[in-house]
Amino acid sequence: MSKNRYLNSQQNIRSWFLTLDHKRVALLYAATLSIFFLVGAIAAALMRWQLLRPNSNFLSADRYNQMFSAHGIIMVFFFLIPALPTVFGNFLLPLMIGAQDLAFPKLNLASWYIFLLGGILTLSALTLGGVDSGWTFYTPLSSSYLNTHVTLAATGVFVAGFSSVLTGLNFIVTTHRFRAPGMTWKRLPLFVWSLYATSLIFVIATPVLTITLLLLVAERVMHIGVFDPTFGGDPLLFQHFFWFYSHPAVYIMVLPPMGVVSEVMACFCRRKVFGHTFIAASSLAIAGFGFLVWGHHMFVSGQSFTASLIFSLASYLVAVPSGVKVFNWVGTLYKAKIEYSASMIYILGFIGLFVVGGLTGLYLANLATDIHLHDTYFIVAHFHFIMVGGSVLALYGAIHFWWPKFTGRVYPETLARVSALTMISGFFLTFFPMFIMGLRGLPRRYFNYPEQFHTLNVLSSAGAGVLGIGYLLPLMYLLWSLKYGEVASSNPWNAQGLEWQLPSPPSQRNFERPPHIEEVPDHGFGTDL
Amino acid sequence: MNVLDIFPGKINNAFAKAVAINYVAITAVSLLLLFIVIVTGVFFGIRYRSLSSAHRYKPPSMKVWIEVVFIAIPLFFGVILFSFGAKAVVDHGREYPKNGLTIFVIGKQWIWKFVHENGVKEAGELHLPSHTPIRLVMVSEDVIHSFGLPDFRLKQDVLPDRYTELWFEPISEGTFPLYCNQYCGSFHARMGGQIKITSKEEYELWLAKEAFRNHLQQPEDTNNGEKIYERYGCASCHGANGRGGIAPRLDNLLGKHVHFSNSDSLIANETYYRDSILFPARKVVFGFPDTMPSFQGRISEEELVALIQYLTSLRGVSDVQKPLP
Repeated sequence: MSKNRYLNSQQNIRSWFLTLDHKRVALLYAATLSIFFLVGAIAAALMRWQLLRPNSNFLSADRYNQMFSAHGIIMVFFFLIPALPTVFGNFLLPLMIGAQDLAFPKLNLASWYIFLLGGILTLSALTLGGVDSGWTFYTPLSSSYLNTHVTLAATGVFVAGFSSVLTGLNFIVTTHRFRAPGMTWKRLPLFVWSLYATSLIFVIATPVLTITLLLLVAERVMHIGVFDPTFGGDPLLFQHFFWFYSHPAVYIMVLPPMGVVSEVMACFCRRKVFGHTFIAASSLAIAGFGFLVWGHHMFVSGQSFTASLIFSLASYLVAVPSGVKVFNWVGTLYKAKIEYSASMIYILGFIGLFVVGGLTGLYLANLATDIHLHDTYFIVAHFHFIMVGGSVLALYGAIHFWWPKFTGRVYPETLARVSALTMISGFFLTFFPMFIMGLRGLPRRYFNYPEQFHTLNVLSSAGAGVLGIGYLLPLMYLLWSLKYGEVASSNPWNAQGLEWQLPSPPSQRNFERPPHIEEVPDHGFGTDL
Repeated sequence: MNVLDIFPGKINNAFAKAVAINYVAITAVSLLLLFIVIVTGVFFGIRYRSLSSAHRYKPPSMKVWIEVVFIAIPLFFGVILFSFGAKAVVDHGREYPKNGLTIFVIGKQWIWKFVHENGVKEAGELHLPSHTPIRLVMVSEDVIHSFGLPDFRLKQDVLPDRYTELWFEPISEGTFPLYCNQYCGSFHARMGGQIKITSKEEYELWLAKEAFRNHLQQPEDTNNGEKIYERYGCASCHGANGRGGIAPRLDNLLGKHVHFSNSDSLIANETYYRDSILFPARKVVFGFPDTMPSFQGRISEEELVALIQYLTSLRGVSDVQKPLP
């Protein structure tokens, strides 16, 4: 490839670690996130190995508890929350709106260093002997009873939060102020809308987590009596603070993937997404409503019944904009010209699994059934359907869709399709049995379990093996493609979107002159329909 | 238990029946929506695949009325399912028993302790009678636990700073698992047990035998409520047998209105007793001085339970709270 592309314009260490190019920052994040994902996945593999037998002592009770805590903390705070925004948002946002970079390139680099620092602190906690508080850090267990590295782990998450806020700020300002002439709000791609909504959540919700973790550390170190009743505190206060952030956080984890779904669908259906305006609006609605439902994590916590009533109703209402998206995506298939590329398979997998995960949410928003299902494996299945069956699948779809743009190479298509199907089936085998475990009453976070849950756990662990293959296969052929893959053209998929007007990979400066922006046709992309 | 047994056991209390109706309703709605999405999706996915010659002239890109339908469908079902669930819980709360058995539950890392009305204690296993409303008044001695009874579709977090409650009336006899459902540290997974439901007669017989056995083993029980009342000097203000003095009367108090110096009032329950002993300054009875000392840190949850059981058994002559002249 010619020497002025962002990947090879400069090759020394300084040009990478002191880069101001949003595309290189995206790759810095990609490398860091891959390491975190690997650590989180290993923790999960060890858990599923343990759970092959009801009374296994492969892991001690404490070690198992440290594993599920590590898995949750890493996967939530150091993988799912940052992944799509920091890799694909950083790389694509300026390209999609016709900008040369983000609004604050230095702040962007700083965000990565802050994230790295947070990750190092948390990983140290894990290597120095682990944390066994769960990713939810409930008090007074984590504030007054655990003598593991809770403070260090919480501090790592605290630091990483600043990275989120700065990224969100950067995206919001960029979207408002750096759109090329002709890129009106109406013409904004749906992925940009999803990043915008996500950034609003980053900026408004993350500070609440920051303060909560600060109070938790203060409680551990100084016993000031915020959360521990023996010092006059209220343990439920922690739950309200924690979930006020952590519920909107799950929308951070799902909105960008939904944006990816829209982009990939538009391309491989050869038409604009059905109900484009409503999909954009629903991203904002999800972000807004998402702040009003946190108490649905606390129906049996001892909170007031009035609060529970309000949260239950609000939780049903927040499902509406997600339903609108799904119906519109299905509508996009109508009179389309559908190509089943690898990324399309991932995205269709997202829609199917997200729908199942979302529908199981109907049981959890319900005040009666949630009492039975709370803190059981049903919950574990529900959120994994959305976060893995949904977000991770869409992430892999994004990786495959924009791989040529990022790297200038194409991967082997058939192998990629097989890989997608492997991931989808491995996922289903791992997590569907957990719905049944939960309905039968098996609580979560159990290192051993009663004999009657043995078969279901074996199925789940077997599925995890298949899922692992599904994760590793792309790693192999994508790396292979860097050297041996077919060289990519600017627009190998015949997609709409400004990023496809640039060479693959783009030059460091993105656009040589402001891009020519036209109304996106309703249908017939790249064909002669 | 074979793979097709999704629900544990059969419906064993009224609430479980209401929950079952909700399960059916939610499953019906879910299957309907899933069916619509999957069938439509698969149909379109096959018909409009790129190699097919299906008719594609002018695909619509947005029609507002369709979007309104897309909004109305989940909204409609959501409100219905919300009201079904809310009704089930409201009804269950409305039927909260005034008479029945009150069992105290004390959770601690990593064991459940139970105290029956006559002071008999159990750990890990709880004997209960069928066809009797049972109230569980629960507290933790350390972290947050959760008392989970999947067969009864019931669960309630157990907190260290106040009592939380659960009630049910078992229909049939049997042994049912109980689990701790809130992660509480190392042996959370081992903090389970079972409840054994027997007939009322068998339960009473068992209870009497246990009480007798305890009496044989420990004729001088220094840990009963009356002894605790003495030991902590309660009588010096509240009078012997709780008949009052410079502090309010305590006999016949359960279920009565109490009025406070700041014009608040409440109906006395176990939580009120516990709060008064641990945090007396929070609510001072109208007409009385704010001089009761706090026993927080000095009295254990088990002593509190025994004390409250003793106090709620006191039956005095008057049922009006009046300061003695």
